[in-house]
Amino acid sequence: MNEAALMEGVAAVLEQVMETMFFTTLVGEVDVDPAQPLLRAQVHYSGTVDGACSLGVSPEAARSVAANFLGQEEASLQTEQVEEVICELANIVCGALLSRAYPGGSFRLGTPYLVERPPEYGFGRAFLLDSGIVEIFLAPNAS
Amino acid sequence: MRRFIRRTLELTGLDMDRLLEAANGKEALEILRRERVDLVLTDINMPSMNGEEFVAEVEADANLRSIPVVVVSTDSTQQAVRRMIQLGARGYVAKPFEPEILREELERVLGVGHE
Repeated sequence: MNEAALMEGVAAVLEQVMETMFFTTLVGEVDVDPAQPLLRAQVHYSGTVDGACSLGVSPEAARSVAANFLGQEEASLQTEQVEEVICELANIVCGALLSRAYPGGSFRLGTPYLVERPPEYGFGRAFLLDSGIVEIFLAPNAS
Repeated sequence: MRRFIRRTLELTGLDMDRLLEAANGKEALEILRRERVDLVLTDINMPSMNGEEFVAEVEADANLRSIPVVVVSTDSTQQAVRRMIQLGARGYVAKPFEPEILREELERVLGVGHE
């Protein structure tokens, strides 16, 4: 698997996704404290390459992007709505990343679900949003 | 996602009488068999009946196949687009997308121009 192809596209894909559908700006890349609490969703993919994509968002950013995505005030959001939006965000980012890295490939994405922590192996990058932090962790061939 | 699509369609200013929602392909087929529908937007990755199965069912039903189906999916690989068009989808919009892109595709499929 071409890990470099996937990782190279992370910043560009995330920037496009956040700006076009979540109306949030990517400010820059950051290091994330492993103790930083993140609302994390994971998607498994299979096909041309197999693996998992995990996306974590800091709580304040999660509420902000959920409000933007749904067109609602943050104060009116239920926890379940925020969780569903982060799952959708993980789904969109994962699909866009794979499509960009392997345009001639073929993939099946699983249903996104919430997880406590990223896969035990893989590689990740984190970015500062105007409302918090988003981290992407890719685990090729994760089962 | 349906909430986002609804909001995006409202933002595009497309003239719509009403918007019906279904959680999966099975529900969508039930709606299509009892309501008059001008166009369907569907994802591929759905529970119960996915987008591929749904498009194939619509295409196989003589009463439904004239209803255009537009796919909205995170999968923008050439193979996915080709597969859905071969099954009968009339349009394809890859996520992420700008509202304008969705409107242009819907106008193209519906054969209406933007004035």
